[in-house]
Amino acid sequence: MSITGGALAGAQLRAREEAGERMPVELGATTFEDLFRSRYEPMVRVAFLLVGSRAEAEDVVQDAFARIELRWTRLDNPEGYLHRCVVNRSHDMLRRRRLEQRFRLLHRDDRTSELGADELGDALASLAPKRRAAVVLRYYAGLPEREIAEILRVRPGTVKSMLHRALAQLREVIER
Amino acid sequence: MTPPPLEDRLNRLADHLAAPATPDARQAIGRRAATLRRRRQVRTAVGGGLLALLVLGGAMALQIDHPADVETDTAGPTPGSLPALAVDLDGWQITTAENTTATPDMSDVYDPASGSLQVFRRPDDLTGPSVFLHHQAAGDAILEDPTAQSVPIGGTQGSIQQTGPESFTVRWAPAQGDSQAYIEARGLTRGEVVHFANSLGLKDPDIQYPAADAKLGFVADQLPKGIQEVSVTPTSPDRNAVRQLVLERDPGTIEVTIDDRGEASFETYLGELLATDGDVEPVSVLGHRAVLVEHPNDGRWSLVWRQTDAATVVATLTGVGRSTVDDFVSSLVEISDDEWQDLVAAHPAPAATESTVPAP
Repeated sequence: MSITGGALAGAQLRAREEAGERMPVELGATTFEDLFRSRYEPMVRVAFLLVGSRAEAEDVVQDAFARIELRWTRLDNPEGYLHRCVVNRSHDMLRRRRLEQRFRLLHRDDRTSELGADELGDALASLAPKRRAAVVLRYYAGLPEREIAEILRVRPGTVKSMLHRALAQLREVIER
Repeated sequence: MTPPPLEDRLNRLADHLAAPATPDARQAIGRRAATLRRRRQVRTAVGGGLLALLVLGGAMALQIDHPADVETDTAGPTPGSLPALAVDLDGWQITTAENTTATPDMSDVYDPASGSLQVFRRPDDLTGPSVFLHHQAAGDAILEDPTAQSVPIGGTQGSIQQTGPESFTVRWAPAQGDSQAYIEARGLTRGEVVHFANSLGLKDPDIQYPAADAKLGFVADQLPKGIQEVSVTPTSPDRNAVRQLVLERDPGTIEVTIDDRGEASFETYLGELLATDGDVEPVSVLGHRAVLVEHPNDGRWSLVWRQTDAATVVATLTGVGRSTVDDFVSSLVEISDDEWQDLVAAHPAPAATESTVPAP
């Protein structure tokens, strides 16, 4: 089973985690081109949830792939590196441009309008960057907490508490 | 009615997004990789020798004007001599104490080890009117901000964005797009910032790109509100040691990061903080001049200061009030290297991180 088309459904996610299955499933990416073909679009979607703008999401992901291409022969876990690059670069962007504010202002394309209409977009934008990354990696990308801890460079227990707090913050909006 | 699960709602938000792995995207990645590779080659080829010359030159200049400052500005600490701090704050638990390394590659656009950084402010006034001027060879494009306004700068089309009541950022591409410039300004009007940018001349009019960092930069002779250019020693790419301390007390987090990358690192952090809509306040931390910024939108506080000539400390406090910030400041103590290593041993970072996911 692959998550290349996007996220796992919640039930699938829980069932697989309960079964101790490691996610995401192996990619079979033996070359950089394989990785690019299989992960480019899913990572743009992850980055979109992190930065709230399609153009900036593509910028983040292209930058991440460029760095991977340079280091390809030295990487033993290209996908882990890709996730970390995307998260770090997204955080750079958020820090620099304070997208938390502009999330609400990016109304020019239909998709971000949909974010606003859904209200989850606003709720995501209100989360601190690491909490937002934890939510997106866990509930959209379907990564296990241990892997998220590696990407965010925190303890697995911290991921758990970040998710708990983030969900409490999101719940107010989601349950409206 | 039961709301749909979070996973489904996130799917709805993102799965519509079509961003296929097209040949165009692949080419864009290739161009970026080539730019990164070129930049590294330039940095590797000229960085070390150039830095030595710059430091030597700076030392000679200082020797003439300020003999007492020479030693502190030329002899930064080795990575092993980073200062170490501890915090004894009621109810807070240290969750991580870690020796790590900076990841300069992640922020090429703003990396203090890349390009030139010039800082203008009133002497000894860290929170007054200021301009942080970055200049570097064109590489990764600085994205146009959707809320920025077009403005002519030096005969080219630049953009300006108001980032706070008295903060602006300006971006433009001097030298027919072969380089890019970026300003973070605070305490100046829009007109003053634009006038400043338009008054700049390239330091080396005959510059060829890609250029060594020493050739980058501008000559500024029309400075508003009494600001002056202050000397900023470039960052050494070899200095990438970082000490990080994380404390938690539900729902708050405190992260303290210490690097020894020198003045440019401090100024880069400071410029970033000042170019926000945060409330800025000069404070004193362990006897050092520091800048405290309260970020109005997310309950976050940032505190930055120079613990030594080379060492910059950045503390980020989230989920706390002002009284906790004051308590944090008063509870900070400098500890010995041995005490720090004990702290690291007692509060290690997650072990799997380095072995499975290399630091980007």
